[in-house]
This record gives sequence, structure tokens and C-alpha cells, in this order.
Amino acid sequence: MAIYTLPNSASWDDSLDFADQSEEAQEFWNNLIGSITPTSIYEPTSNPNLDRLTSQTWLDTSYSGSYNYQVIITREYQNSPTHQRAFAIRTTHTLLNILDK
Amino acid sequence: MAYRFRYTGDYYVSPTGDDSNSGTSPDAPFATIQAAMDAKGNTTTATTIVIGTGIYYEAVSTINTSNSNTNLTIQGDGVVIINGEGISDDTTNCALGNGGSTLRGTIINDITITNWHNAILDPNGGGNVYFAYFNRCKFINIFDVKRSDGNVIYYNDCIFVKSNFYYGSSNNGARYIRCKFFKSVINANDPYGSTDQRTTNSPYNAGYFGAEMSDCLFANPFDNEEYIAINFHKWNHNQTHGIIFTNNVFSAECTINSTKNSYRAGTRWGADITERNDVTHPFTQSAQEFVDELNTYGTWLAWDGEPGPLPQSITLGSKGKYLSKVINWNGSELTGSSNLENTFGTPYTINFNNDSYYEAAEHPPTRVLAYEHPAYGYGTINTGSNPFHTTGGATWENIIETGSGFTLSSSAIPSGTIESAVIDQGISRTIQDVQFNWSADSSTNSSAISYYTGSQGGPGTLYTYQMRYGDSSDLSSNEYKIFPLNETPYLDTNESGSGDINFITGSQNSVKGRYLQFKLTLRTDWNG
Repeated sequence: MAIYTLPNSASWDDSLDFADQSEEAQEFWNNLIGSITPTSIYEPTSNPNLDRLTSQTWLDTSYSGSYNYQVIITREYQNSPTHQRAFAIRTTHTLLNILDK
Repeated sequence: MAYRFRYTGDYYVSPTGDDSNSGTSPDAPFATIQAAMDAKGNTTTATTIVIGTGIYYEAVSTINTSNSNTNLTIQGDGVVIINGEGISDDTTNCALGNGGSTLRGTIINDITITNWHNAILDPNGGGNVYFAYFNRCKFINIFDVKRSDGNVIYYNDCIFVKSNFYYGSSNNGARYIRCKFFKSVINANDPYGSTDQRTTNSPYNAGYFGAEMSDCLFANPFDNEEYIAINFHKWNHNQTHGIIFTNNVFSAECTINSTKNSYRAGTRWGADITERNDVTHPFTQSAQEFVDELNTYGTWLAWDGEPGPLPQSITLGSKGKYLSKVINWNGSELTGSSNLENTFGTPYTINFNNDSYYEAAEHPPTRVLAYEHPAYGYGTINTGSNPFHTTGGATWENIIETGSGFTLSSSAIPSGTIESAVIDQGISRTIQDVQFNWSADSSTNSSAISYYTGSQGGPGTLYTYQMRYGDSSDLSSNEYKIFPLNETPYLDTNESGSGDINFITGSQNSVKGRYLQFKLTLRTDWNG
């Protein structure tokens, strides 16, 4: 368990769920997602024109402090890539990482 | 069978579709909403996704993760349900807005979201909302968590059943306009904003945005217990920001409570509440009477007039009593069909005329629902007898009648015209909604729903709903006008009906009259 000060001065307690963090802390991560193009990984499906997304990673190295900030969102699907309902998502998982530079 | 879409869009979805399809044609829809979302991708080009009748068991991500407006419209076409049964959990998913996606600027029309912990935005997924619009949507059995990231959401003409929602979240407030809440709780967690900006801000310019709740109805038709309809968990921002809270109607069992500091002298919103202390308490019946009436008629009859002269002040003060008792969400309620049965009173199935909870409750096979805006009147007219039954004065043309109501034969493609008896409402009323409950056997039921055409390999039944009305019992000289079925009848700019079942009105002129008469025309293909 650790408490960080995010670049926008918000406090981030990594023992708390995202929804329980401060508004400013949530905004920091939301802005990170909204301002950086993620690295996306896809897998093929039966649709020749549409692969399905398995994960996206955002990495922000722009800050001069000790940390980089990373968001990884993965999708968990209900069915195989060739299924008629291949794109039906069961859930998504979000990892918010504060990484040493 | 192909689903016959009423709306046009850029992508189409149907439970009978396939995610390997292009999704760009009504004849080749996707099977999942997510496939359409992913096909749209991150583009901010205006896009409409049309979703056909059916139940969709999936958690949807809008994929757009930028801070720009999605420019996306999600249009339900028929009875569209996003059901979290077997999928929903309390931390990692939701119906719409999973995995860091944003609903910024998204318009969602005519969708039912049911059995989810979280309707909008998963709790740990990042992402934001910022000016999303839910129009004519239904939220059933939702326990929505707090998200503090700009939930500027407009709920217009929505219905909430056994759900918890947030009135305002942090620095931006939600707006609930003409919504109905049935044993649902609104948790106002420190809503504040600016009433000035409420009207002057650009719709997509998120900022301090005043929360609003206007012309809404709160009631508990499910049991005889009192419950807290609105919880002001926290309401103590020392800001000159306002909220609008006006013309809302509360049945007897619904109360409002403030749980923390709720007033600071000099704040504008506090003054607003004082000035707008117009919460009314118009129902004179008990909760049990309310339930009995609901079970008998499918809705309630008690009040059909001006708001009663019983202003009920909201108790605000620095020591507001902690009386909050939100509806406890019970995970077991999300399993099996029992919850839906409990919610609706009868097993819930997709059918022709079943788009809200009270329509699924027991009610006469044919009825006319007529009510006005809650602020001006509310009530229901039950015809008492089936106006489409021959003994009630209806006239028939080329329709095979069996049983006591309006039944289509399994051996014939139905066609022809049915004209109801003239219905006397007693007084002249604004017609808000007219509902017919159809009965059809299995071979024709699907065609009646999907408008299957002969050219597509199946029998077709396209109905046209016409109505004439007036304040004289003799309607013979009145023109029949065409309206969309199960939608609010409005007149076009010429004050006449035209077109087909897809008739789109050009104005908001209400239809009003004491006497009503309906005509349904069944045809064998889409083009008539």
C-alpha cells in the first residue's frame, strides 16, 4: 500500500478502488487515457474486416518526476473469436500502474 | 429471420445477426452491440448504430477513449434490452462505457438496461461521460455506483425501476426531466453547478453544471413500505451554484432526506430550493391501494388534476437527520428470471406490447392509456371493455376473429382493417400513449413483430395505426390520422397525420379529445 502524489497534485492511494479515489485523481487517469494514443492488440475473428481488441496500453512518460504512468485495459470476451457473437464482452479489467522511471 | 428495422443508421445489430457480417446493412446486421462499436472505432464522425428488438447479454465499450465528442447515436429499434444477468459484477463492468471508454456526447435512445450493478461506466475503468443523453430509456434493477468524473447526463423521459442512481456527482449534475422513478433512489452526492451555465454552456462544454430534476414522478408500486426517494448524501459545497428542483410529484411512500450539511447561507442553490419549494404530494391513496390499482389496471388512476395544495418542504439544515436507506442491492436478485418476475409481476418476455413495467403487469387485454404531464395531470383511462371486440361495437373487415379478443388465425396471412368502437374518456384529455395488446399465435407472432415481408421468405404483417378524435361523440366526419404505435401521438406541422408507422412528427402539438376511435390496418408486406 502506498500513497502517491500525482502530477496534478492529486493524492493516489493504491489501496483504494478507482471509484473511491478523489475526483482529481480520477481526472488525472481519465485525462491520460484521453490524451495519449494507446498501443492496441487485436486478434482475428471470422469477420475479415474486423479484428477484436484484446488489450490497450497507455504509457505516459512525459513527466519529469520519478514516475511514468501506465494504464492497461484488457477485454474478457464471452465467446471464441469465431463465434457468431465473438464481440460480446464479459468484462474489462483496468490496471493503473505508477512505474519507476 | 431477418429483422426489419424501422430506423436507418450506419450500423445495424440484431440478435439474429452475426458478428462476421458487415453490419452496415439491415440485411447483414452484427449480432452484438460491441461489434458495431468496434466497427465505428475511434472515429468522431457522426455515427448511428441501430439495435433491433431483442435481449443483448454483453458489456459494451464505446471504444472511443479520446476526450472528444463521440458523435454517436445508439438507437433502439423496438424492445431492446441490455441485460447484465450472468455478466454483471460490482467492480469491473457495466452496461455501457466499459474499459476507459467515454460516452461524451453520446445519445442513447429507447434502450432498456437491466440487471446491472453499474449502468454507465465501470467503477475502475476510467473514462467519462460528459453530456450523454438518455432519451426514453429504462433502467431496471440497477445499482449504480458513484463516479466522480463529470457525470453530466441528461435523462429525458426515462423510467427507473428498482434502481439507484445519482443526481449529481461532484462538480457536475445530472438532469432528470419528465422521468418516472418506481421504488428507485436518486442519490444526490454533492451536486452543484451553475444554473446560469445550465442554459448558456455549450452542450459539450463540460463545466460546473447545475443538476436538475423537473417534472418527475416518484412512486413505489411494489410494496407498502416507505422508502427514501432522494438522498442528499452531501450537499454542502460553498459555491454560488444552483440546482433546479421543480414540479416533481411524490407518492405517499416516497420521502426526501438530507444526510449531511445541506445549506449554507448565501449560496444560490440554497435560495433556489427555498424559492422552488414546490414539491407536491398529490396522491390520496395508500400504497396498497396504489399497488392494487396497478395490478388491476396496469397503471394508476388516482390523480388526474392539478397538483394538490400540499407543498412539502424539503428538510434542509446543518443537522439533517440521517435517514437514508437506499434500496439494498442483492446479488441474488440478478440470477434467474425471478427478479424480473418480481419486478414486473409477471414473467418478462419480449412481445409486441411490453415496453415498460406496468404494461407487463396484469391488465385488460386492450386499454387506452391517457395521461398528461405529471405537473398538470396524471391518470389512466381504461376502456373497461375491449373496443376492438365486435360486441363492443367494432367493425371488422377481412379479419378472422377467434376467442374473446383480437386473434390472428394461424392459417392465414392477416390483412384488412379493424375499427374500434368510439371510446368516451369522460372528459377531454391529452393523449400521451395509446397501447394495444395483441395476441397472435406462434407462426404469425414473429411476423407481426418483425414486419417480415413476403419477398424475404415469410408472411408479412405491417400494421398502420390510425386514430381520430374529438370532443363530439360523432366522429364520423373526423379524419383518421396516422400515428406511430406505442408512441406519443403528436401532430405534424400541418396538424395532420401522414406517412406510415414510421411517421415522424414535425412539431410537438399534443393530441387532445374526449372521444377516440382507432383503426388498425394489417397488410401483407412492408410496402403495403
